[in-house]
Amino acid sequence: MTAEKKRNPLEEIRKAISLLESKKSLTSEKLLADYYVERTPQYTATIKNLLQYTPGQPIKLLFSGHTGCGKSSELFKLKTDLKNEFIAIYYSIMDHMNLSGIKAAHLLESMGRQLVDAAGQHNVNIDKKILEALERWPFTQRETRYSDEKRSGMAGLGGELPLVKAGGAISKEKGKKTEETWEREPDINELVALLNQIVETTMNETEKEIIIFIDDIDKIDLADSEALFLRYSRTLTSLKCKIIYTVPISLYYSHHIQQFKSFYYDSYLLPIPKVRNKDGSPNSGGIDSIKEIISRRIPVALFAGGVLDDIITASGGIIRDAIRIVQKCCLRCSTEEKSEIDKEIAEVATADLKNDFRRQLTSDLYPKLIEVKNSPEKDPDVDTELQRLLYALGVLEYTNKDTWYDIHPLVLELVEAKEKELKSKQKDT
Amino acid sequence: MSLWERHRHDLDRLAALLSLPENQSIVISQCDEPELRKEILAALETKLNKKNISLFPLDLSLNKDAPGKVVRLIQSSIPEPGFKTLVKKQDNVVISIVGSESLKGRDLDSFVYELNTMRDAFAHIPYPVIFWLPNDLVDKVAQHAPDFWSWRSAFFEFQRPTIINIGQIPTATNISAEKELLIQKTPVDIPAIFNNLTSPIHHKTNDSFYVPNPANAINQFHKGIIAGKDNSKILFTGPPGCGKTTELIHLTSTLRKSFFTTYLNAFHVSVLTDLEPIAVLFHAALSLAGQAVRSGIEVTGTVIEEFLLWQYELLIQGGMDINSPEPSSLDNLLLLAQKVTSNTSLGKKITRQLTTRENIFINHFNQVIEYIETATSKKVLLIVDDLDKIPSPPAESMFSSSANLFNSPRCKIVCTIPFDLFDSPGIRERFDDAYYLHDVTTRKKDGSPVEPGLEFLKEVILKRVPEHFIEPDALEQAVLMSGGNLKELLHIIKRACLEVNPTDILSKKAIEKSLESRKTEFRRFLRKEDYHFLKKISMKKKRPDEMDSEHFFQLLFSRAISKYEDGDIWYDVHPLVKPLLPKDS
Repeated sequence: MTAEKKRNPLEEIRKAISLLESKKSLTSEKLLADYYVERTPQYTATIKNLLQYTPGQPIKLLFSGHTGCGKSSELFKLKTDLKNEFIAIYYSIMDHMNLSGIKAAHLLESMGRQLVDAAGQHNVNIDKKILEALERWPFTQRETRYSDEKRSGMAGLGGELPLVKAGGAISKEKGKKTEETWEREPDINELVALLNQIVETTMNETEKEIIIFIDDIDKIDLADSEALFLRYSRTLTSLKCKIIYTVPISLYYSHHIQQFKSFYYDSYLLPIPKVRNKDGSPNSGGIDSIKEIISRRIPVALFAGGVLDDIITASGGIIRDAIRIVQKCCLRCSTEEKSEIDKEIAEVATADLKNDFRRQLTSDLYPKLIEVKNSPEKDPDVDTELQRLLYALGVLEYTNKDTWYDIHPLVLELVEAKEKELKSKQKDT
Repeated sequence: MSLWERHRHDLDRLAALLSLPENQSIVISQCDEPELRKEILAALETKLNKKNISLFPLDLSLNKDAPGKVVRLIQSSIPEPGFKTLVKKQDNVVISIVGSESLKGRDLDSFVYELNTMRDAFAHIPYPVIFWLPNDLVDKVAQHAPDFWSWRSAFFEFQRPTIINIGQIPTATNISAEKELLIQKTPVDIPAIFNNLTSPIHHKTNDSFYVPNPANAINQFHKGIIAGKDNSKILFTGPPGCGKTTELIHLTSTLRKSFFTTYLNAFHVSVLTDLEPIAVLFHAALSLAGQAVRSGIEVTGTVIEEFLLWQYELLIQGGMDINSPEPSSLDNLLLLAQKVTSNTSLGKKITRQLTTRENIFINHFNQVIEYIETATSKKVLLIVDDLDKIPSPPAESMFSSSANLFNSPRCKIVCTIPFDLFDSPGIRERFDDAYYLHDVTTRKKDGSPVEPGLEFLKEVILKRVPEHFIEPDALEQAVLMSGGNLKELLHIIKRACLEVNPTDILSKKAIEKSLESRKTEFRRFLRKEDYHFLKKISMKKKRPDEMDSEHFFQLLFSRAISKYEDGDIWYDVHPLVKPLLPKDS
């Protein structure tokens, strides 16, 4: 390796732009090696212990955290650490499907494809019949019945699965009877059984346990994720291998969580670094941990004094936001041909993110934001609004020994303005 | 070569047992690691040889034609010249069955199945037999050959050795490295402890982990079953994690002397949301018939065979796949029955057919019961567990409108129900008796500690965790903050274990961290309207009159509140929720 050429600061800033691509999680071994910074305390060590201490137990875990807090990177790190002991599969659900209206069957199908791939990579021969059956899923079978047979068909005396009227079924008169097309509702248990056969064959032949990390289920909105886990947790936990599902943070705040939590062995939340204290003062430990992450991508010396600290504080501890702001700074420096990221550049870059919040936060959420801001113990009541705000990052959860909440630093101005507006309105009336 | 100390101690016991005169012992030895097993076998052989006893190894994997047919293998080996010579030369011969880990699929099923069905054949083998089984097979035997399991003379566990190098967990690939560690004694073995804490409760683990529950309800429940009227139908419930399954499994083995007892986990029947009462009873009947076959009572040409043939017809009509074996024997009939249990869609079809043949089925069921009772001179007791896990709407109809169905079999039945149905109108009166197992009372209403409760919980943990691994303060803290719920307590300890470095012990700090994360979970889902009632419950120790049941049971289910019984019934807020309650304004 030759020593890196000395660059001028502007060149370094330009070079950093692509390294600061905030949407890119550390989901390759190369990226991990170059950019991964171990967290202290090492949060995922606990999960790693759990996975190693439970040989042969097909446990299922829920994994969550604020959007942009580094979940994907941590999951991928876990996967990499465990790849020799386990057949470790990591994938993003978004690579497989559109997330709207997602159902358990979709998740299982995606796992099926991953399992077949993994079996192939390990030279495991899966019975052709199983693969064909998987291809055929959802095994829709059409049947033609006449209107007066319908009743007995529905009662299922013939020992059949329930029939449902096929979408766009053709009804035509045939004599006096109506001819209708009915479809057998796919039985998700059959899909589970197929996948379990693949799991078992693979585990038997390789003598290794399978572990699946499914990322990005947290991108599903609250209502859909609640519906998915409330309705399908039994199915989602019936595969005979270990699975970690990422879920939106708001799901942990669901009033219904108790109804499905017991299906999972445990649930974890990756905390965001505490870049500030409960009283709002900066927390240097938290700031430094994000600084370390940023320094892997851009030399800290390119920032004017105190500017990087300010950027990190403004991110509230959301690593992706901090990286995004720095990238915006670099872009701006690049176009303005500035060789230092100074206060002014940083403020403009931060303003962009503020505007994003302005668009995202609907007016019905402001009373809750005001309540959180003004809560002396930073201990707001949990309700639907808080749940929505946690999902939208308007409110952040800080958890370590003690759990407390605060509004995202970038919404402070918006909230203060709204508070003023509301107060003057009150006066007027 | 020196063996790990604990193994040596077990080896001495094993050798002593096998050298008893007039010996027909059946010993099950668990050992997962082939290398370790070789070593132990060699050491055992040396010990036995000194007493003029020989080990005669029989390898199932070499028994190519019928690898699972262990009885046939033994019977055919005894007349062999090699065996005869040994017998002449030595004072005794111990038959040592190895190679069980090579059994797969149908061979494995038939092996387990045969252990139970051919149990009596072992009585005709005039030599002690020792089985070397891997862990999962021991579980299988304990679960699927319960009679054989309970019939064994002894069970020895030559466990995976402890690990000392930090962060290294034994896997199939680093077994030889693990062997090196064998000779060194290590302070703690966290994965092994963790395994003890996570072991599902079944007949095997329950033997070693059971601690008598001090609750009055348990005492009354036992008495109620024994003294209650013939064929009574008894409900048993309690909040999730209070220890119901542990008690029911314990009950199954203790009552085996006075009853013909069958334990059935309804969870294995089918997807519980679709669970039909008739399906539960059908599987109960099959389990009972299976147990009758295994117990060795005459079955051929009886109502049991009739029932099994009848259910075979059902399977055929339900469209069972044609590759299945012909019903040439009772064994096959039972194997087929097991298939229904494991195949949900077939199970559903059968259920639908059963509903139209309810009377015929109940008639078969009752004939089976009657026959078993006459043949064994014991009353039949069916224990149906896990029905408490059915979601509310289907459960309610199962125990109210379908209660008649449960009352149709003419035998004693104990079944669990969801705890929120215990006080629902129109349910308990349809059954003969009902018992509620509360969370363990660790504090009185006034907050003062209740020693028997605290001691019980501590003992539960110390059965699974070596005393020197956990700081006494830490255990005390975990027990007090568990609110008396066993599952909660185990969860607290397990989470703390994951925080411990392999060279450390479970400290109070680790427990506190675990408690803190549990408190945060409560913090996340409890709402303002919850706190309003929680505060009242915390003060008055009773259910507020104005609180609707759904809300109340939701909080009980989430363990934010618990129901206790010490002479009087009262409620309290979970100790970890108390600090979250709003301060007086």
